[in-house]
Amino acid sequence: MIIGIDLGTTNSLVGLWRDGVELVPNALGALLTPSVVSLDSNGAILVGAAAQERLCTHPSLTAGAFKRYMGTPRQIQLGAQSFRAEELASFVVRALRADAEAYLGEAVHEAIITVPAYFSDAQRRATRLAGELAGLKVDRVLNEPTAAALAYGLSNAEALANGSVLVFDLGGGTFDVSVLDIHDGVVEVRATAGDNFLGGEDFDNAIANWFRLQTHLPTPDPLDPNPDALVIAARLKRVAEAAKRRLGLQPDVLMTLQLADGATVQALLTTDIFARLAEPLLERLRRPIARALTDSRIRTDQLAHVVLAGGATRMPLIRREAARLFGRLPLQHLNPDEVVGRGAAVQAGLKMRSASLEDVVLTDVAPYTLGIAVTEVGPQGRMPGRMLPVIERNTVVPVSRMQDVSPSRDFQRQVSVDIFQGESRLVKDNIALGSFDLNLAPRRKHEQTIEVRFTYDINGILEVTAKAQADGSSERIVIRHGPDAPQGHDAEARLAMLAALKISPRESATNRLLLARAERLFESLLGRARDELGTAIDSFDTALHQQETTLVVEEARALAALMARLGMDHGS
Amino acid sequence: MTSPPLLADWATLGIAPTQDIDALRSAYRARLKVVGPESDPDGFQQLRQAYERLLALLQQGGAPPADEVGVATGQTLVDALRALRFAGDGAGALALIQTTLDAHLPGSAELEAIEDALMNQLAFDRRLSPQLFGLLVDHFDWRDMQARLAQVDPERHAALLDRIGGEDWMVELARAASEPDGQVAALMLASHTQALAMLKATGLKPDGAAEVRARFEELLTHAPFVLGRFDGATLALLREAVEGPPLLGESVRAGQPAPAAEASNGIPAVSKQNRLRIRWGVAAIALALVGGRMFWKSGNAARSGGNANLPDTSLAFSVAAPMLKDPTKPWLATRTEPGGIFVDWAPIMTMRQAVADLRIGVNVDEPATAMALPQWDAPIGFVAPKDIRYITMRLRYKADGQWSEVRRYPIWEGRP
Repeated sequence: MIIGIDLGTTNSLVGLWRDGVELVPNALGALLTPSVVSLDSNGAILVGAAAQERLCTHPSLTAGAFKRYMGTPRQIQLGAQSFRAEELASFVVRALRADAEAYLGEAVHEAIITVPAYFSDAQRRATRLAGELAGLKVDRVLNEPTAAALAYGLSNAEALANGSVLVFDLGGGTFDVSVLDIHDGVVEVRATAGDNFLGGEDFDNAIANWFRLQTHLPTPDPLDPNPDALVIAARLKRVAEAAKRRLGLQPDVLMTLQLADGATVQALLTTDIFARLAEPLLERLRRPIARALTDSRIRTDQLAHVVLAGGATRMPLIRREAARLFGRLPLQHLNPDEVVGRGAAVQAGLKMRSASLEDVVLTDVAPYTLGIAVTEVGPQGRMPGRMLPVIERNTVVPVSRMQDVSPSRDFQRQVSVDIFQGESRLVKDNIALGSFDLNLAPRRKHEQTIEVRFTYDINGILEVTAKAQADGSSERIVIRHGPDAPQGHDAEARLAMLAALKISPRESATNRLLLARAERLFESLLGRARDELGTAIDSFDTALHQQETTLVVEEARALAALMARLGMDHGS
Repeated sequence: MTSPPLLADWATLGIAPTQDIDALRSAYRARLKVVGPESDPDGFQQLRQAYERLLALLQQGGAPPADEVGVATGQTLVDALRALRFAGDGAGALALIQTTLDAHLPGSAELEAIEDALMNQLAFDRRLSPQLFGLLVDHFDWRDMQARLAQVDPERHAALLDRIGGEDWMVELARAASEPDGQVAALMLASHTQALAMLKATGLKPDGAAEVRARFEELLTHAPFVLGRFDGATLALLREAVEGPPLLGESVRAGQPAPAAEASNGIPAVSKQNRLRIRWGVAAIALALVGGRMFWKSGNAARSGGNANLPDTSLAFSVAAPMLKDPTKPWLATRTEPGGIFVDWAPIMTMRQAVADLRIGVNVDEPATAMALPQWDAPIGFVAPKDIRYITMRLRYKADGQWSEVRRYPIWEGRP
């Protein structure tokens, strides 16, 4: 069985195909698993809702939204240990895999993982690595908006049987736009554009920053975070997110934040204020939309549907803006949180050549222009550092393209092939992917032609070869590693370390969540109530350690009852 | 119309040649189910290429006509912007553009027609404020190498990218000027009076000369769009601070009547405003001079470092020497271009093997400014502003070490 995973910035989801899409619930019975990882006091890894609760109580042991750092060398600190984003993501994948195995009653060895369409080569590789670190073979990464279109295209045959569709996918951390043609079971992606750093989290941050200004709360110093400030920042983030959700239902929200000394500060967030805060973010939605439409050569009025995907499209503000940008009301039949996961499940079915999907074919495109650095000679002299596109963006993949170049001077003995991705004419504004040298026999430059060939597969993996035609010498590079990825021995040692880390077992998920929620409540209480809850937490924790099932159940019931009495519904 | 390779393409798609795009599309979709990107990557690539070639063939000349409403809106917008500029209302112009553009859906035909109008009538206007230009660049995504414009009119788009490069450079220069180490950038952006005061107070910083040369080289590449924003006299001052005063002594020794001290000082009584304009013209030449020296220097570097190596197309000494003395062979060429009169140094550069020294002057009868000649071909020349009435030149022959007569080349003199 192959599973389909939507590895999101905020939430993740696993699904599979058995004559139809089935979404897999986690140990707590929920379809969405928060993409949050935390280290507990025993050094075990907690994933999901329990970890999310610990963002407030144990901010230095907990990390969320790490998808934003995928494919970068950034180290994320959890207590004394530090992790790369793909390593943290691998814990989430491990948890989802365990859920799927429990659901199926059989082992799972292969997965499809979705990525934002606008993810770069390095980010895609990091995502595959996250799957592999979790012990899954990841042959295929799938673009999120394409997954959303697959889910829509196959969910409601009548509404979307034939025509052009634009998918507007605003997730927790990324924004993607894809324009697709759906016809007779063929799903053809025409163009994709996006912004890797625009999502629901940015709206939370905008609210949090506004709240700080309103209440004269100092901004924490990222270089010298003191523990109190971290806790306050995590609480504020939670309050801001809750306020954003509530604004969908009511015209204003009174935001209340408890400070370290127990005092509280408040500010009233109205729909109007939020609209003003969101304006610069909304402004950034326009360009990817225009780019995708232009590249697809489909006009707004020729679109059969506009489809919304991604949790952030729940915001009325976003739905209004989408309606304004397209001059029509967008479709939102499917749950925007689940639509990408559903598409991943469809793709898993395609990969297994499921009989019910025999007639479905998907073609996708390369989201970025890929090329090499060249020196152009023009009327203003020699201009080095120009980008020569080899594969233009939105070319259908897999694809192999060639460009001929010459050495820049006579009798050159070596050329350097520098590979870039991006849309700027100057390579300095694009992203360097790698480079290699090709040795040449010295000749006059016009007698020497170098063939540069780019081969790009359906997963967005690039291979570059350069061949000197006159000499027949050639060099080849497969862009395998993101910048600064650990290699060789380091990689093996790292793998061993990650494998040794225990993930908190599925069976204990409910208890871990209860404990995490109790701890969060404890932090916000004062006086007698606090002492009372502290005692209950201690005895529950002791019971958990002793692993006496009856005692654990008893203590859990007692703790939940106490929490309900103290003003927090443990199930909320 | 159907050539043999295309026949093969039709065969790949499994249908007989047709003009019906829909038939082509459904044939492609039918074939896809057999040779899909996942099941048969190589077969799929062949199918896709055949499909794209045939699609291009059938869509030939099928570009939709420009949207009429959009064309009219675009023209109205351009006219309204011109009126606002006349009134000096920059903020109004920005607001007008913003509201007009926001009123149209992204990817719509109207917006494309508006973009074309702005592009054709406004984007290359040198008087356009950087803010307004920046707004257009952002809104229409003009930085994008594959923007719609790049497909419609690649040459214009390339020129646009040059202008964007110039604007970015100005922003970077202003940023550099605000930093503690930014003396050179600050000097370049200062007025002549300010620059003079700054230099008098502290002098050029120790490594300033190299930075001035580097900045001037950058300025040269962006000159068409940004040169007008600099005080020409400041540039001349900086050039002098780096390269030293024009070499006057030698020409005196050559037994000629003493030349005037400096070109800009040799200008007879003119109104203050005129003098400023003339300074600007002098600066344009000064810039070409610095450019010439720098090209000369990088030419030297090229030989030692094994870098660029352009062919030398200058005439041999034996050919150039008599030609240089021939009064019918000009040392300077001018031609009329849309932006003004282009002054081209190409003739003297072709004969440079026979030249030992060169002096030039602007609007003065006695040329006094030394000009370095590059060792290899460099595109040196400039569009002369109206204030350059004539240029005078004098040179010392390499053959006999004698100074030549002064030659006088009218530029704007006698023209409307």
